Amino acid sequence: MSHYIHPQTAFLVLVFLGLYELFLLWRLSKIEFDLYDFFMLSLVALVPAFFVVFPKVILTATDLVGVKFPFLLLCGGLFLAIFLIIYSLIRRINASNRKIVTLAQELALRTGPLESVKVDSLPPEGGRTR
Amino acid sequence: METPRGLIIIPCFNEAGNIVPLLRDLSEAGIGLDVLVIDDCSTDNTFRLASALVPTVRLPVNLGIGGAVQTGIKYALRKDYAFCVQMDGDGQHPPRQLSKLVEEFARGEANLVVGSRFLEKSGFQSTFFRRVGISLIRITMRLLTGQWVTDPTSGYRLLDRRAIELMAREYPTDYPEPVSLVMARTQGLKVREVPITMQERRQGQSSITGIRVFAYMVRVTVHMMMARAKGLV
Repeated sequence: MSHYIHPQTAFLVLVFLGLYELFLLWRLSKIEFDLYDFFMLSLVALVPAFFVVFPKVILTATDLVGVKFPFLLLCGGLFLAIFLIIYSLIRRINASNRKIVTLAQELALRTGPLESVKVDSLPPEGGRTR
Repeated sequence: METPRGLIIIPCFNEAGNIVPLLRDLSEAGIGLDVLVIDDCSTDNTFRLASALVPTVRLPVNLGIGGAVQTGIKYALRKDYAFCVQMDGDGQHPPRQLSKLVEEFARGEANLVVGSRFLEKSGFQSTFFRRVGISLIRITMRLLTGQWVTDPTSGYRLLDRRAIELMAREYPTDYPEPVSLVMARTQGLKVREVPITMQERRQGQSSITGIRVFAYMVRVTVHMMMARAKGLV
């Protein structure tokens, strides 16, 4: 089965890739995310671009996987890219949560009381002498 | 022989109505232990009321019961306490029964002593839905750790030095009471129970009521399984 990529399709996908990468590079320069995030976010444009630039490779992969339409492979590739992004985000959110908890505890302990007191020696009504 | 130093940890969140009576009850009970209140970023007067009576650590953000208790455990570790006792700030844990936990600890056979309201079935026994949910957790605990704990959700518990060292390093933020028991048993710590009589909370209301208890208990069970699986890895 021949695999023909319409020139207009290839043009649109590559223009999207170019503009999208420029946008990501601009946000990267503003330090909104790091290089790893840049790569992960780029995947959503790189996967379709790979399809239009290397149609014969895609055709071979389609035969290997056993699907009828390369479009299904494209969907699978995009799904995998999005899954990797989400997985990475979840790991980092959980790590940040742990750091926040530790930070809050350390802050409280370092600014809190130096010594506790015996509970039998509570001050009378009216408060504690510090 | 020197009496081991012990610390009472009281985590609180918006317990302005309960904390002063609790501290007075503790004082009258003549326990002879140090006390530390952990204010979990309350929005009422809890910190002001507690800190007027006892040293109080104020967390800058709300961490939940797990984060607050771990703060107290870390304090106990750094100040070289031989044991610490966790009790709720809502007045449900009678101060006079704290001696039962300490006596069991003094026997030297347990790393964790849990005050169970179900060993003697006296006092406040919790609502019907909660008791059903606790039964589910009890069965899960038995399957995961081989030990039958009658009150796995009890927050009235004593930790010895070994338990303090473990839980200062790692303490669950979600459903800490039952999950921490699974963690302890996975690490080979010995858990014992003593019967205590709990009271209904003086003021305020539990946030887990009615049929929502079931969903809560299912989530607890899943977290317990994850803690056990983590211990196996």
